[in-house]
Amino acid sequence: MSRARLLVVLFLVTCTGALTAAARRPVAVAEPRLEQLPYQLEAWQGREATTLDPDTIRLVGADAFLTKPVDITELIKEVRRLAGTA
Amino acid sequence: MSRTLGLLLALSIGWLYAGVASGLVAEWASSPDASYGIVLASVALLVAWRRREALAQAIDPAGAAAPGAAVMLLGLTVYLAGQLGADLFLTRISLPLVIVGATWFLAGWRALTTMAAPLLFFTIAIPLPTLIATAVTMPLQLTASRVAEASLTTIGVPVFRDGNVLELPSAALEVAEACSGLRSIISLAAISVLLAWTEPTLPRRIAIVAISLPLAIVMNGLRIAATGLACEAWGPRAASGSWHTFTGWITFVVSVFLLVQLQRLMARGLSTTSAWTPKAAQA
Repeated sequence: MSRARLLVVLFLVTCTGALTAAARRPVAVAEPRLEQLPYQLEAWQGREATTLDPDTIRLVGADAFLTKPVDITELIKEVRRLAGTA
Repeated sequence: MSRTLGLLLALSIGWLYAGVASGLVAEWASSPDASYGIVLASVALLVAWRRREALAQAIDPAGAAAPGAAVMLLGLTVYLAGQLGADLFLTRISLPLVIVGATWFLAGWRALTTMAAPLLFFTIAIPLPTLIATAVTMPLQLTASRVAEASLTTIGVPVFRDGNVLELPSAALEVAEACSGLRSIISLAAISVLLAWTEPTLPRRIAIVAISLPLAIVMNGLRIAATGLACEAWGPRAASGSWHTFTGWITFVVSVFLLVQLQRLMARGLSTTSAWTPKAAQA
């Protein structure tokens, strides 16, 4: 077999492997700052809630989480007003 | 030097495809829909090993480089597309493409044709993509239901077909996805490829593979008809118990037997045709 051709195939296969490995490398993502989420989102009104219990946190396995129940009473009123059913 | 480079190349291809190969073996070992693959892959390895000396003699290092290089580049591109797009089938199907391209590029066309049979066996061993399997399952279910309906009507069993449900006097028989016959079609096609390999000419090889498809479809329809008959005779339990498993097994054995008989018939018919000449006819 031709040495030059062997080198060509070796080069191509190695390049493909390197490209695949590079594509698989995890991309660093900035940690989300969930505490900055505002309580007021248009017609949505959030409030502080008790945190999740340790078992739930362990089972969910989330690296960041937020427990801010949102009161959507005002939103429902707004939707009803727009739909003309209020 | 070339030997070292060859070893390095084998290692690099092994490194590139280690995950793909282990995934394939795991699927062959665990999925009943893909288990035929392990037989074909083993036959491919065996045939490749038996042809190693013929391969060594067929090597032509000075052969045309462009076609082999193009196929190999195509294979590696398909591999990349499969990896980046998370498509299992593309990643898997790229392996035979890369092997074909590399063999053609490094050893020439004659060497590639020497290894054509094992490469074909290996390609067929790769499980069908889910997209295709899903697309053909429903039409196959309906075809099997129609064949079963026609068979039951022919032998005088009253039946009403509603899509893939056969309404019998004793029970309603649903031709489920698992009964579509896709598994037996693939398995019988795989066996037909092995049988075709023993044929001397390409048209006869194609004929053997082509025969296996309608044969598997019809036999699956007959199996469902037999299940319907068993339902009538022994009650609805016959549609799901050991009888169901037994008919599946026996149908496949009969299908293989019929395929072999058809192959023999074809060989006999063609030999009779070739012996018949205008001169012989005049005599």
